[in-house]
Amino acid sequence: MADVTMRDLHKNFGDTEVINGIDLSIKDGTFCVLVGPSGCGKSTLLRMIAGLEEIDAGELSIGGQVMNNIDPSKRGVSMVFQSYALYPHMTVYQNMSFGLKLAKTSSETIEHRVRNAAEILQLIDLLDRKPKELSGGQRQRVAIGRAIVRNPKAFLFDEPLSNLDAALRVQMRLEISRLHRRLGTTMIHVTHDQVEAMTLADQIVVLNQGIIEQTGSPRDLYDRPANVFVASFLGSPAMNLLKARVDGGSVVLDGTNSRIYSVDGVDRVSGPVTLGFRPEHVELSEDGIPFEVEFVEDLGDACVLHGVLDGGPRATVRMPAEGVPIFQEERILNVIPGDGRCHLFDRQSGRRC
Amino acid sequence: MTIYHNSLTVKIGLFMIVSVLLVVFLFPFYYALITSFKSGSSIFEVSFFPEKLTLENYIAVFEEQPFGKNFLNSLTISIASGLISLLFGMTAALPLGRFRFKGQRLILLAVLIISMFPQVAVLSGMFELIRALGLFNNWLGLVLCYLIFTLPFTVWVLTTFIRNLPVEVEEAAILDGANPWVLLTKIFFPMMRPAIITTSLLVFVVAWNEFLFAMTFTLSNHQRTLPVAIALISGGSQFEVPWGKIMAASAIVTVPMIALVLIFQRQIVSGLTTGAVKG
Amino acid sequence: MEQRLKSEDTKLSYQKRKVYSAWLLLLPMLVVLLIVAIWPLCYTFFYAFTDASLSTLTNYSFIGFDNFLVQDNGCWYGLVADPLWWYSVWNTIVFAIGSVVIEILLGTIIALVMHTKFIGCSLFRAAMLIPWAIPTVVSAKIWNWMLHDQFGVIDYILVKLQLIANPISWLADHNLTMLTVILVDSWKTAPFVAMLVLAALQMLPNDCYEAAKVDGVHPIKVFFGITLPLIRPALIVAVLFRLIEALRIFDVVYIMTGSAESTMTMSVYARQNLVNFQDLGYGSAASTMLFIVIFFIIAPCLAIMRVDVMKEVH
Repeated sequence: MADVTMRDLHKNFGDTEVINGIDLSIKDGTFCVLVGPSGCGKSTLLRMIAGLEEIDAGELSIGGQVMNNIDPSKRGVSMVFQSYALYPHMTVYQNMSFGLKLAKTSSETIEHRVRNAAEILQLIDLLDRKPKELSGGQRQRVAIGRAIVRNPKAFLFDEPLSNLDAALRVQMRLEISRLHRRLGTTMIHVTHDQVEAMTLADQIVVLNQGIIEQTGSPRDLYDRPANVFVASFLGSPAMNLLKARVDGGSVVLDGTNSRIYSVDGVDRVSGPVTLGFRPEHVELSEDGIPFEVEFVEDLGDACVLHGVLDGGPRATVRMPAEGVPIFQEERILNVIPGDGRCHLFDRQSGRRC
Repeated sequence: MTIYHNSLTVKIGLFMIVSVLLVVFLFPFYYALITSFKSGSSIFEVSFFPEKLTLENYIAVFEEQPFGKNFLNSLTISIASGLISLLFGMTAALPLGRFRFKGQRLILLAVLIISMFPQVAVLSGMFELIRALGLFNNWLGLVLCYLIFTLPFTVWVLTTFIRNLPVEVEEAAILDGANPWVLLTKIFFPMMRPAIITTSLLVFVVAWNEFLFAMTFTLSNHQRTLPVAIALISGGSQFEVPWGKIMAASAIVTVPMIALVLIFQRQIVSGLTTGAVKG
Repeated sequence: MEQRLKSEDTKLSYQKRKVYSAWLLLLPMLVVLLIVAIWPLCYTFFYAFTDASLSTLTNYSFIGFDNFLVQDNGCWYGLVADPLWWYSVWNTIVFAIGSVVIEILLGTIIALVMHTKFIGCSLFRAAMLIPWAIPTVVSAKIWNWMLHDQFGVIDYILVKLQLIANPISWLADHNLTMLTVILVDSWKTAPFVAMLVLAALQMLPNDCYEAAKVDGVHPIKVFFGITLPLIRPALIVAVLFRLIEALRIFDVVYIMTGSAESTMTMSVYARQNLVNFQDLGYGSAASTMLFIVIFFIIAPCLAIMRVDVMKEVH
């Protein structure tokens, strides 16, 4: 079993707390994605798991063994770096076998494992090349191959796709997904790209300022964000978050007289709240709220409309492309968030009500 | 540069400038070479093309003084001071380029300032040092005092280079199980090969050309280095300067340097610029 | 809480271990520099206040500032009272300014030529490096020969071209020796400056030039308006570098003109007293002054340029 468990992990750089009490458990075989804005501590957390950063306080265990003071190479983890970090003076084969050689693995085993990994990653023909003779995608595959041959208990990916161009990124994302299915090993993947997080993860961990904002399956996080931060971080275009107040079983948007009924949780709160609804969950409705379109982005399959709700707050709306003719600037539409698609957050704490 | 119009006048202008520069910078060597092949009174007649080649001067250089030994001295001293500065420069550059600790800034500043020392300023102290160690008139003494300029230079160039190496490669090696020794020998040394080649070339050139220490700390003909030997070639009197011999000796010293420059042009240029821009 | 304390404990020892190994790795370099740089420098400073002589090294006494300035029977003696020393200071400054100006101008021109692409430009670059690579002794000797007042090829050419009527004594005429030495030094080191400038030129953004070309700006205006301001940092570094070298100049001057007064620089003056006159104390005083002059010229330059050593580190 290679569960990865963290208990109250802390890390300071000088006076700044980077990791601020992380409790997290990742089950064996899970694809876990750490996501968050830059500077949120996600890379630091990954490097703490790898052993590249010291753990100031708390406990890290992998497969039931406490790893706080174990050498990086003895933790049974492999890491894939953002810049690939291939050894520039070694061939692909040497790159992949370096760690095994240092571990004094027999040469047959090395040969076997490298060949095996190279086959999985379609690197067989490139084994004698040097990194500088490879393309970005090929280098990335070598970096992954170098991780595979060590048969790790867990893979650590540190933004491995961010140096690739858009098309290649999608392709490599699929390859990593396929690899996870094939190997069934625990993988911990750091990214700032929410699409990557949503598509790859079994379990997403949203980090912000060194603490976990929410963890759960992508569906959970999308459907029931625990707070305003998670709500705004996941989803594109971002969720509309509007100031509002709960008044007698319905929600009134600040600065307008528009009311929204049938919102989950209105019975539990009263007074000022933050109302959230996703642009893609807005529907056209005769008795909806007037929405003046200011700007239209045509994405082909859909249109993203930016505008003003009832003379008050700004909002974004995403509509299927069928309606294109009516989505024109300065046009006023009547819109309403779908039933049960609204989220209420406490105005002060930002938590879900 | 893309700004230049590709017109004929510009091409001719460029050709002219290049020719003038080549003449100004190369003619002295050509003239020295011609002189070195002349003998007797023909030396004192100006001519631009060799008429009668004789090797008289070259033979004289080796017969009348231990020029071969001087050549060997220069070679030994330059290589030795290069190796020592590389060894100590390498070990120092690693923490200076990679670690973070108190006093780091101070050490870098000290290295920078030492590289600015005028040689004369340490001459009397150096004399005392060499005498105390019993290394006067000994090539080991010169190797030692050449370290005052070769070592700071090496430290600077290698430190800048190490600093520009990606940290992630080092971390990947750590995860692969490399200990500090493996890290240094299997990862850092191979990655730093270009910097090491460049630095050793420059250190070699500087040590090969050094004059003041070599002249002050050697006494006998057999211990001298090439520059000193050439400076001291003299005739019977002040008015009988043996120019032919001097030019022959100069040619012998110059040829290896020209070969070095032609082969390692790129490395030398890159070393000169990092050493200077960062130092 | 207990866990937390324990972790901090091990972290401290790890940090300590790393700092410890850093100093261990630095140790060889520090020891060597202490022996070959700091210790001799301190000795020079020390000797400057003694009457030590090379012939009686062990027998000296402490004489305070007498080597620098002392009054005896109403007459002033010592370095600061020696007109020759002041002359050497003047020569050094003339040499430094003259050679640096010529080298920067010549070096920039060479760099601009190197920066253009033409057939054989790589060979041209290599050729320009040769004067830098050969020993100063050799280049000085070659020029001594070419500038010989009777048989020198330079005079021969100039007379043949009818630029001058009679041969010039480049190395004997007191009014010309300094110029000669400056020119020879510039010939040798302009390629070095050219390398620095070339490196800066190669890092210039191409789009500036394309924009200028589109706007139809005259190439000369482009040079002064775009190129020059952009390579200024490199030029300043080159000036500083050459200035340090020029202020401590010894070998070119010594080989071309010996210890002649008209070209005597501070280094030549110090060495003459130290070695030729065997006056270790007085020579050390002159060396000390040279060190102080260089230090006080260079330190403000560094401060103005704000060469932040730490900036390089991270």
